[in-house]
Amino acid sequence: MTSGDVMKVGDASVLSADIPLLSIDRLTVQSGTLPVIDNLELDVAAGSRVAVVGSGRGSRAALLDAICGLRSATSGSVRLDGRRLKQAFSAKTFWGILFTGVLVGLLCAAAAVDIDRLWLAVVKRGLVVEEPFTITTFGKRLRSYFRAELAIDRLAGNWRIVTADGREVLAVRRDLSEARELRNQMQAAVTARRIGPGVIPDITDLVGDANEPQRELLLDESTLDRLAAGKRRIRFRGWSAFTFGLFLGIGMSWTIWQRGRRLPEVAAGAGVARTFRVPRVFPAMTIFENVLVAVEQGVRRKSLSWWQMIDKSYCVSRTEKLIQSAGLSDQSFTFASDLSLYERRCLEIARGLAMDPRILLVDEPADGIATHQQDMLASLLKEVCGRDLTVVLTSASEGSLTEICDYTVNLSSHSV
Amino acid sequence: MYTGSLACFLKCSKRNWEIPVFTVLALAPLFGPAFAGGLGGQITSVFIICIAALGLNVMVGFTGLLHLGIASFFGLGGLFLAILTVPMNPLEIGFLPAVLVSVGITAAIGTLLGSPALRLRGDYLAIVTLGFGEVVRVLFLNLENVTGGTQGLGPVPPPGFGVFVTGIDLGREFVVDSRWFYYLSLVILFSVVLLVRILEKSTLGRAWVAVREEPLAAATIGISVAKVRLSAFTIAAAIAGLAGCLSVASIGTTGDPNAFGFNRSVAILCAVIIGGLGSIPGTLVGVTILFGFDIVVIPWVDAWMQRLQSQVFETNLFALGSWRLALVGIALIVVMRFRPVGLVPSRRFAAELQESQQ
Repeated sequence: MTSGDVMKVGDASVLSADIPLLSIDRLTVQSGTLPVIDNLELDVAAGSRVAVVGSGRGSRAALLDAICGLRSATSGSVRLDGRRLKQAFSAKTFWGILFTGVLVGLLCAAAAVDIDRLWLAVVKRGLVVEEPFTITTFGKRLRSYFRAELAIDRLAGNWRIVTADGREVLAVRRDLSEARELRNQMQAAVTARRIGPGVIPDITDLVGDANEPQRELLLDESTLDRLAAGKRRIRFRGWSAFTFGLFLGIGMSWTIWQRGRRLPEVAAGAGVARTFRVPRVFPAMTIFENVLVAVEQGVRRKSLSWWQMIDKSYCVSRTEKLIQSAGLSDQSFTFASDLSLYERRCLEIARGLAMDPRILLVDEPADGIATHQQDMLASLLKEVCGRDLTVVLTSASEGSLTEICDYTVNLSSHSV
Repeated sequence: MYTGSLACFLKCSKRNWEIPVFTVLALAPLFGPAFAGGLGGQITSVFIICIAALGLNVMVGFTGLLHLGIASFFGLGGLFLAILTVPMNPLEIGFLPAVLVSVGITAAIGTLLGSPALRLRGDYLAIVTLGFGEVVRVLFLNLENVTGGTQGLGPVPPPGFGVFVTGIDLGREFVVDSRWFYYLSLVILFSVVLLVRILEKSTLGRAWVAVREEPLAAATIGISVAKVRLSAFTIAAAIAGLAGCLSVASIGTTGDPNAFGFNRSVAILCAVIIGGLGSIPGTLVGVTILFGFDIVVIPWVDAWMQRLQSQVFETNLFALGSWRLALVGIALIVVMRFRPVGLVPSRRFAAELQESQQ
């Protein structure tokens, strides 16, 4: 097989403007390590009918697959109207990926800062100290959790001074105002320790009964160090988890987007329709629905946002027209599972035409059907193909279907 | 030329079963005083499972994706409702806004889980949903301050709590008379049936079926397979969340999180399969048989047999309740052997099964 031959199909300057409708540039498709299409160059002008023959059935199918995005090319490119059949990177994509990143980051941070204790500090604490739940108090408590500040908590009529996460009880008081005062003193000591070492707190507690009071140091050196380190620890955990999640989310959604760039629906949106050698109709839908679903998608893609309603009567009339042109109008409400191979093929062509494509790829239409049916299919294709529709069909042999084509491309000899 | 083809296409089902069935269900409590007590509550819980199963049917039946974690979305909906309404928490918003918010959050979680997971094929997606169900259950157990741990979060005030209509305390009525919940869940079930039916007949519904049958062909006619699947996943999550809200409101607590585990998910899935995948009446029949048997019939039969046995043998030899899982298993085997399309199959699935047997 000689590589690098350029095939120009149709006189582009006559039929359309200067760029051909479909241009395939040094396309190589490998199946495993074996190249099924090797360095193919092919230009197809708008409005022409092209038959692809020669080489194996797999090669011909691979060509169509590569055009419509079912199979990714090893190298080379396929352009429709000078544009790659790939989703462009838009502002919407950028914000979507960033949003996912932030969301995953927040989830990771929530897991890292211990959402259970955060809940305790933010929601439940307001209940015990009987603070109203407003945005201000919510923000205050959220801040105090992330600053690892000491808080006040109530248990069985006693006010307790606890760490922000409620894990550790430092002192217990009967009176709320007394507890508040002590908490402020302790907080000041912790903050002082955080700023610089060497401050020994003078916070003591009365332990024992009233007759024989005994003073006890509330915050010893090690407790103070631990509390002072709490803020740094929780912030470090939160931010590192957020950063991790941010990159994870961005990476994941980038990968997903990158993989979805070259999907068949992108090519279909650009105007590439195809049929299959073994027709892939929707068996559990009637013929009518089979075509209708494609009509609706075509209408939606062309002109509508997701929230806009579809003009149903237009869709229905267009569906009826397509079914009629495919010659299936007398059985439009039978299930597609009841159709013969020939009828399925007609249905698939009607369905492909439903979304108003620029180019229709027909895979082996002559395969497995009788000669007179091939003639009927040929006349159908000839009828539908006009100024705005280009047809590329593959075929194993010469017949009535290849005769309707303007050009024949031979894959094995790389010739027109 | 094709006169009335639009009309013919729009009313695909010839038999309109909803109106008579729901009329009978609406009138039933007027004739049975038992509905005010235990029986009404039992039937209400069957209705609630029906709603969740309809959500699952959107995913498994219409879109053809196996979902093994529907009960986790059920539980999440209920949890958010409880968080928003229980007097332990400071929010304490009304029932209706709480339901709307919690359904919204559940749908958002569904979208978040679905967007990476739905790119997986068949079995892998099932594994992801299974894992998610277990993760939710374990989170419920471990985030004790948020969810109440094994105790559950409660007491959830009944709908209409603190609302007085002509001197009647609606909240109190909901607690005292179970017919209030019966009617509430019946109305919601009816709306969900209509919603699912409209969705089935819509552009989106046809895209679901197309994606289920031939994902490749669906992609080549411009259907964005991942997005269409994601929409089904989100809708399933939202409907299951709604059912969870109702369940929690009717019981008054989120209860033991283990009830939202794998067993519940699979039981709902079985009900959908027995009834007929992709069929709305089938789903309702399946749930009524499986869960109606479990919740309503077995306690009744057991009470009756206990009385009989204690009269005849003076001891309790046999309780049907301990055999109920075996009976469900046998029923499943029998149905799958003799009616693989389900008890009330949809036309579509019958056609598809025929195709695959050819």
